[in-house]
Amino acid sequence: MNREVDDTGALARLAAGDATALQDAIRDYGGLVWSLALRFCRERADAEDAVQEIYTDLWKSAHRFDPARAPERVFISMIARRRLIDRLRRERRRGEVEARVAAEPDDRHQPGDAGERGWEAEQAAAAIDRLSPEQQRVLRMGIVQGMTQSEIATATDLPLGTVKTHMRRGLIRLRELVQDGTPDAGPDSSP
Amino acid sequence: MSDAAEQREQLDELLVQRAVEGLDPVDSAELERLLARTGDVDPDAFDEAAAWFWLGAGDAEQPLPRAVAERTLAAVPAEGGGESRVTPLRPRRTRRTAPWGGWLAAAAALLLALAGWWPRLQPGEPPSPAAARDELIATAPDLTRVEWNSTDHPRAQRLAGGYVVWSDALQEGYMTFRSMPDNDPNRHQYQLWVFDAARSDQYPVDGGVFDAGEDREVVIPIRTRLPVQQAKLFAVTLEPPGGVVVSDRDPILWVARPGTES
Repeated sequence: MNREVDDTGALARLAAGDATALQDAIRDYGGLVWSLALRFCRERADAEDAVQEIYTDLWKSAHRFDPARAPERVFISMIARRRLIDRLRRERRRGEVEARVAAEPDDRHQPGDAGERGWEAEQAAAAIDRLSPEQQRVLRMGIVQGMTQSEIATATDLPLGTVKTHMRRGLIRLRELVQDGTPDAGPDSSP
Repeated sequence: MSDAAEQREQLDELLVQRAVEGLDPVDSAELERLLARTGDVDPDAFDEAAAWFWLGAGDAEQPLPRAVAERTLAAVPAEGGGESRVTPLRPRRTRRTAPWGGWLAAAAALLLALAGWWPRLQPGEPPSPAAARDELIATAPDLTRVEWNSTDHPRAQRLAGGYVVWSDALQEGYMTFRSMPDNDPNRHQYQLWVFDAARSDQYPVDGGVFDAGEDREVVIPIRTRLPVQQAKLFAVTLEPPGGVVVSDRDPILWVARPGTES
């Protein structure tokens, strides 16, 4: 991965017990966590609770952060998504929410605005562009729109196994591309 | 396809599903079992890739409201490091039970507990764990009994058998193990985790730390540190001496899932 390893970031300091690190993590990544919470939660009050839960999770798991493996922003997104997926599943079990099918966001990231969200978003957007259209589509429906694999299969008329294959290969390819740091050409032709 | 390839494909499928939409407890247990059997897998790789995807294609970031930031800052340091004890920022609006429902349930549970435990309130020697277990079996109004299933971990395979009994109403339960593998308490101890349908699967309730003992049949009382509303899975892990607050679930040795008994 072609980037500097920063071991003085908020997560490393959080793991070391630095009392000011949490404040920095909220300042630097609060927007990221908030946008995720708003996407996953039906009501604003739930999103506010979720933010608190996510930062509690970060406080507990900061020691697992490895700056040589992925940037802080990726680790925080991962922890936040896990928590939010878990909350969503609980709500679905209780029947409190309908599946958030096909809720295309109004303010979804568009090509060209990644720069203002940091180099990670820019690199990720470039890597996504290298995925096949099918991979991009199912991953966007699953990860951004919150659809289950079965819902995607229904919505796209694709066999469930095909949806799973696109997702698996797309995620593997995306990770390879961001690790290489050179997502520079057009879409791959692999399925 | 070879068994190993088939197992790897199933593992990848579960990891992708976890990364995109999450897993139910049954699939979570299966994932843990497969991970325990497969040493060269990076369990976070797909979650990490999904996080990258969100960064590149997700919603534009919006500033975190100052009030939310301040409440989070005030709440998190006091709560970290233990079970999930997040304080709601405001009263939940989605509560489905009547306000007095909890009190009735508590009162009923207390009556049941007093009825069930009455003999033990008498002066004299406390009952043995085996006797207390048998008494629970005889008196609990909602008894769950489920056999242990061993994972493929070599230590787990040495267990001859056993079962869990548990009552949500009485908040009482016992684990029975036959020919339980020895453990050196200075190196590691067993720890029980109770997955509660009312809680996040990420934070199962600590059911207590224990050792194998010397008897062929060992009965261990379950000592949950938090109330369990509806136990849906019991899992025993091997942990450092004294146990852990949050387990990395490696290795999981035995699992008992209510509702799977024939």
